[in-house]
Amino acid sequence: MIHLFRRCVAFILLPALASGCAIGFDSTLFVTKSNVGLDVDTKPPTAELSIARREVVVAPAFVDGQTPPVLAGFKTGNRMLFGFDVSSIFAGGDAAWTLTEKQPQANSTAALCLPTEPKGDLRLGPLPLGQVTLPREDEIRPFVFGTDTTFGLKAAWSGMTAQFPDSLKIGFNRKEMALAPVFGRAVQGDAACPYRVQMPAFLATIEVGVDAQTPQSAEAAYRQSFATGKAATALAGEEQVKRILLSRLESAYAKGTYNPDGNSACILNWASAADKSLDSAKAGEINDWLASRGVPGQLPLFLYAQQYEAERALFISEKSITCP
Amino acid sequence: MTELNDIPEEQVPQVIQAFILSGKSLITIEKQADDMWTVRGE
Repeated sequence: MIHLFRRCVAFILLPALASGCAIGFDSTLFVTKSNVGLDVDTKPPTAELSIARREVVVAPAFVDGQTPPVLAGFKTGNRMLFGFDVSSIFAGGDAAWTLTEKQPQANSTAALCLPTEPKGDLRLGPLPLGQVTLPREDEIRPFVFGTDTTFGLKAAWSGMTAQFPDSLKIGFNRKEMALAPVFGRAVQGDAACPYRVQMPAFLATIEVGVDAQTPQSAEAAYRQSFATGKAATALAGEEQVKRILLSRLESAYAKGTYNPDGNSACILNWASAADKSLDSAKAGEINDWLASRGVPGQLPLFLYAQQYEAERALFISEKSITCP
Repeated sequence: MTELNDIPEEQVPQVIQAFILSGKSLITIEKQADDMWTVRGE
């Protein structure tokens, strides 16, 4: 059994080595697969009617547990038979780092700082297969990045299964894959970061919204983006893109009953501008506070819902707001 | 998705402003059977 496992490992690693790529040593492999709906396939034999999500990353890990950053987010809001919402985000390198920053900094980078040039020993059990070093600044390596999305119905025939299709997909099905080289560079005269390691930035997002509550109001919206390099990093800083990721953290469905109390009036008085409308800066302060409490995006419920009575009292106390 | 029910008609504009400032980009309003309003945002 162990021999079989080693053979399998060698089968995967040796061709990669022969092509100059050692996944997990000098390159990062990041793969996700999502399915919302029906997915029937003969290769491999699969039949599922589900919400399914698979994520795999094989990346080099350096001293202090540092790894090139990758990030994936997936959200689906099912409206049963009346449509669904799906959004997904897939990023790596500087784009992944920028997505996680609350306030993107001008010179922020996802580069890793290592004390020395790392070397990887590729082994097959006791047998050394060779030493792997990171590609240097004067080398060129291929960077593979792609997505495959099906939204609706997809049936594929190879001709091997007579009149039956090889695969049948109904709903939302998406695969995302990146094989990114990890570059290393010695930085002369920088004691804080003598050896920098970085991989290319990449970003893919998709948002699908289907509403079919009534035939008259049925609508579908579809938005997709795909970028690499500086374009990916710049796109990752956009609020619209960040919202796809952050919306994962919101509760799927928050509901409240309008019943403002005295603390509502107090907070509204504190947060209102001269024209009695809500001041956007004060609203932003409340939004930040709610996000820190783990309930982002619930400003309306916070201000007006009877279910948020305790939060309002706590906010007034923490912010030392004087109520009339 | 956020939903607030039983809103008096005269308060709907203020509530919608709160939905907008909370970052909701798709806001729908619906009149209830009791003449109160429901606002949803996502």
